[in-house]
Amino acid sequence: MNATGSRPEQPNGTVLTADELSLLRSVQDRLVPGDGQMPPAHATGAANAVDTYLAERTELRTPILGVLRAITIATAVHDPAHAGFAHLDGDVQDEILHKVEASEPEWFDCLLVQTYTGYYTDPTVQAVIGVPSPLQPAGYASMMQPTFDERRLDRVRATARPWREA
Amino acid sequence: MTDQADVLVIGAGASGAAVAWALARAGRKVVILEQGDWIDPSTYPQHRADWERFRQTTFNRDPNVRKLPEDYPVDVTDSPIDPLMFNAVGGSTIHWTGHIPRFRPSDFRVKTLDGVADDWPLDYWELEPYYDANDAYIGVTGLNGDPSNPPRTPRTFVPPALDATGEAYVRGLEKLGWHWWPSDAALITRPHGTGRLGCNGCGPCDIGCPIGAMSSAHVTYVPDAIRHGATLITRARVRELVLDDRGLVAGAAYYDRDGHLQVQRARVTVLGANGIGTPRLLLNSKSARFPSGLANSSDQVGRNFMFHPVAVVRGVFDEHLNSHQGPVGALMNSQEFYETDPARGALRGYQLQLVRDSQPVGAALGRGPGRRLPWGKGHHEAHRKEFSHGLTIVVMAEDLPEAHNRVTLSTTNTDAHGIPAAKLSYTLSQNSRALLDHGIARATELLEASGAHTVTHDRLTRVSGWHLMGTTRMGTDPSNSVVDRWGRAHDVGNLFIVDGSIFVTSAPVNPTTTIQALARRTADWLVDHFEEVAG
Repeated sequence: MNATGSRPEQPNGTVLTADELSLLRSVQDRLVPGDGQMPPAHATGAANAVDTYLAERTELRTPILGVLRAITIATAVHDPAHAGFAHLDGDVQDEILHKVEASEPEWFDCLLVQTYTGYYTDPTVQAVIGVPSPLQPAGYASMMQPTFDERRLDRVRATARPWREA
Repeated sequence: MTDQADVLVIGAGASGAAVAWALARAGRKVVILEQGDWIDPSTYPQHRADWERFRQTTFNRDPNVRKLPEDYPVDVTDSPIDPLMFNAVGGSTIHWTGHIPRFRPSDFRVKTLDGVADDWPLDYWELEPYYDANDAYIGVTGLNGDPSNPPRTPRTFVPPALDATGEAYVRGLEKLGWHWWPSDAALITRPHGTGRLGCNGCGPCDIGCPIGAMSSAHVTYVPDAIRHGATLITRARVRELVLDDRGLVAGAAYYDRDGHLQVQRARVTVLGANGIGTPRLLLNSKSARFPSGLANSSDQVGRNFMFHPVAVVRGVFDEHLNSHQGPVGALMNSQEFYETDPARGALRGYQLQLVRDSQPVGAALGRGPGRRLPWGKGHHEAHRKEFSHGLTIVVMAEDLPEAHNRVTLSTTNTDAHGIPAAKLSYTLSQNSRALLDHGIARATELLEASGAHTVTHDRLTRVSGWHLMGTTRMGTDPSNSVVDRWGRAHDVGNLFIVDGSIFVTSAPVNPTTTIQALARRTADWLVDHFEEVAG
């Protein structure tokens, strides 16, 4: 795996190979697993989103491709049978990720930032959280009605220190 | 070579747009050069589900992160704070919270009252009618009657009722008996002006308002200036100001959008390029007559740079506050600690800008004083406890001018046109540090009084350099200031500056309405004295 920022893009304009995308999905499911109504990362567009970010922002390629390479190597060391990260038990996957997080903290943090960004900008996740997707044109219009009750300021009017005359 | 304008304005942000509008309305032939472009309203991120990711890229507030062709780099290796700005029609009023408190009368008499820095060569009352005129023109939501500030004209729109976020703040403020007041907010809550819709509270004003509710320059002064006959040239990167044989400014040499060098001639030139861009341009305009940069015989160009140093204090509450909803920065403020109190161990004061909190991605990333939320099994529980459960207080201290805090030219970096970039050298003073420390303690006290179960803080927030001031300061003595009380350069009679560079001191409040009031005041003076000063 070439972990440099000059890595060429795939024929379809993305950056990750099919194997890398598959690994990323498995990794992201450990980072953001499902919980109640919140979907696991693989059920959202989080992995494809990261691939898009890599195509748009070349500075992300070294850390993201680097951390995927580090996870692949750590998996191979842990599992000489080469079953692959996706086939390991969840606890073992987490152990590998913790090791990589400790050895490559900046790369791992970059993966975390981009995974959280991809996950929480997915419309299915936004629907569960209850935020408009997209924000416009709906916004939260009802909260902007001009109905401030000035009596709330009576205490301030009575007690506030005046400005210094100059 | 183009036709000669009466007035050339460099920069279409808060100040340049205001001065261009006033001069065009008075019948002057005005040309505006802006290094950025119009932002197509349909391209604002809020129209997309994945809008939050653009905070990390093209809509980032830091030009060193954005790195768009219209941006220029700023060397910040010698600064603990990153300067923030946006280069487009509307300038940094696109990346704006629209919180626009005014200076107080004491802010213009710092030397007289507190024995530090310098007094301004004008007072509050001279500026007051321009504050009122600016507010009425752009549209402001707020309430007059704050006893801690001088009276002002009725605001354009009444604020919304206190929401859960506001109620939580007020709970603590009332317990402590502190001053608070709804923000004077540069936004409209009902349709106003041409094509501007009322705010629908979507939240992230700081990456631009997609419906024109924020009273940014590109939906107020700029289109009106054009209607009055001003010519706006976008993607025009000014290389230097050029002089005539008399030592007056003859115009500006700039690269057009195709990279061709052009010269725009003008009888008067006005700079509105912000507290870093303006000194950078002057320092890049060297000549035999001004070998250390234009208008710099005093060696003051670039010096006395002021930020508003910021500490962010954040509280987390058990209750759901909906604190991601509504204009993020224009809610309310406390000026309880505004004026000098020697018991604090520092001179001057600070404001507590009481703002809203993060959106979903922001909550997960733990921006500001927070932390990155943990990954794995506990992630969702942590997100549920953080998202929309936080209040964020911006402690904004008055910074005092110090000659060693300065903008110079980089010897290593250039922009896309090969023009030397700016270098910022800034150290936080002991006075500002003491103000921030006092403010952190008081903000913590407030959040605890409001019911926060956890309070964290950032002692000095790096990504907080919104306000860029002081680098071509105003004064009566040409040996220690760059412009006079009208913003006119002491050294060059037909050169004016109207952005935050001309501030003598910074006050502890957001500067935009003061910048625009000063710009309009300069414009009025220029209208009356044009033939006396024009080249």
